[in-house]
Amino acid sequence: MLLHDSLDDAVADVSADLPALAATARNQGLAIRRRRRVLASVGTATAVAVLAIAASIVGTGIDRAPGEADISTSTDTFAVGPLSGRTVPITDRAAVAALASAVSEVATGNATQLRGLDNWGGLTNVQLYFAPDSTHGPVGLVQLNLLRFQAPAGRTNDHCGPDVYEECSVRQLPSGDILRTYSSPSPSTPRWRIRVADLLSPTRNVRVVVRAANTSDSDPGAFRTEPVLSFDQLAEIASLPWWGLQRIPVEYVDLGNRLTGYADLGTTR
Amino acid sequence: MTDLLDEPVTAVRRPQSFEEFVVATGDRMLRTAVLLTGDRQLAEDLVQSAYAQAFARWRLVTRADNPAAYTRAILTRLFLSDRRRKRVRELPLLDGADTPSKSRDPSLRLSLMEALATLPPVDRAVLVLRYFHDLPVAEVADQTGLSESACRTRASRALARLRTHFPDLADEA
Repeated sequence: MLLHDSLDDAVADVSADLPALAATARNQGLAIRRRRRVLASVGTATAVAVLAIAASIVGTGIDRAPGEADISTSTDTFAVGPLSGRTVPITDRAAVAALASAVSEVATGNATQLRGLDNWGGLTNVQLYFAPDSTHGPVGLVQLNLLRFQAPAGRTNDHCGPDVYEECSVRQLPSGDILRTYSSPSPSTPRWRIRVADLLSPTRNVRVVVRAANTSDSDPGAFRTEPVLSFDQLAEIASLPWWGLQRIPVEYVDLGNRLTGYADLGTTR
Repeated sequence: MTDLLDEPVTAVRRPQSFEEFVVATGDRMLRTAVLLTGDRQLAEDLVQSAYAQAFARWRLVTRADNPAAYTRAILTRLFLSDRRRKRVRELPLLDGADTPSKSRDPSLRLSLMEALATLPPVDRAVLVLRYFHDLPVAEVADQTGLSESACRTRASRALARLRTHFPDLADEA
């Protein structure tokens, strides 16, 4: 028995939610960079300068890169009328506009910090912060990933695992798509919760993952009791029939082009 | 993106973006972390911290001869540092229900994980780098901060302890 083979075998079934890992690690990495910048500044500044840095941090928020604009807009702003059926190549601006619009169809509230990650290997990774009107509390992160139907290792993501997920359910939609919903608590951060709707569409060759959290990096210590969107709301968003890797209804491109506070998550790369 | 090899974690080509890099290397990195920590949640935490550090110094990572090895070194050193857990805010990332277990013998897996857990962390790191990643002793020494002779000694001692649980463990070095 070779140790190499035994070690390989012991962890053969371990896999990560890679888009979520990348997004979270990026946010943490940005925070590390900012802390370094602040510490470097503090090391050489006068007391007055220290106060100025503190004011700057408070003003921009810990998760915001310099120069990023903020918008705080009722989701009513993102409502679009009936779709024409015409589609055009997808952009991140269009995708995040479509996400905001989809949220506006299932909930009322305020959407802020619309962002996308441009040039993400031809896939889509966008997010916004959302605060529903129905409950009080801090904003929660809402994310959308559009991925290829088949995961890199050939996984199908079409079932539940009792050791990892809670409240997990899987069902096949009339379209043939498979929809899985689950929540994912964190033992090390007990108040942190996320709900996920994960849709597999073999006919469209796309995997649509929509997540909603009960907190965000804009205020890491502030939590809502529940994530900002319910399972039904997430499922409704993920099940919209026009999500695709390559194209998107033209109405969302128009809406995306009108966004004034859009920021590219990759600009600080 | 999906055409990038996940295993082994060697940089077959330079990553175009941080996200592409994570997708190409994340599963293997997580498996390494599970072997090191023996605990899935701690492994998630560790991997996330390692990639966060990698992103914070992304230019250095991309200039490294092997960006994956560079990140794995970050992960190893974080593992060997107790300060990590106090500093990092963890978010769940596992998608572990994706794949049914391919293990030939689940009881063996548990025993191996338990046996690894009995080793000191440094010995565990040496074994994982040496035998899971098949790294040469010099590279194991570099990543763990030990001398090469100390690595050999620790690997030999750790293998001997594992053999008390698995007598038929072959000598691979």
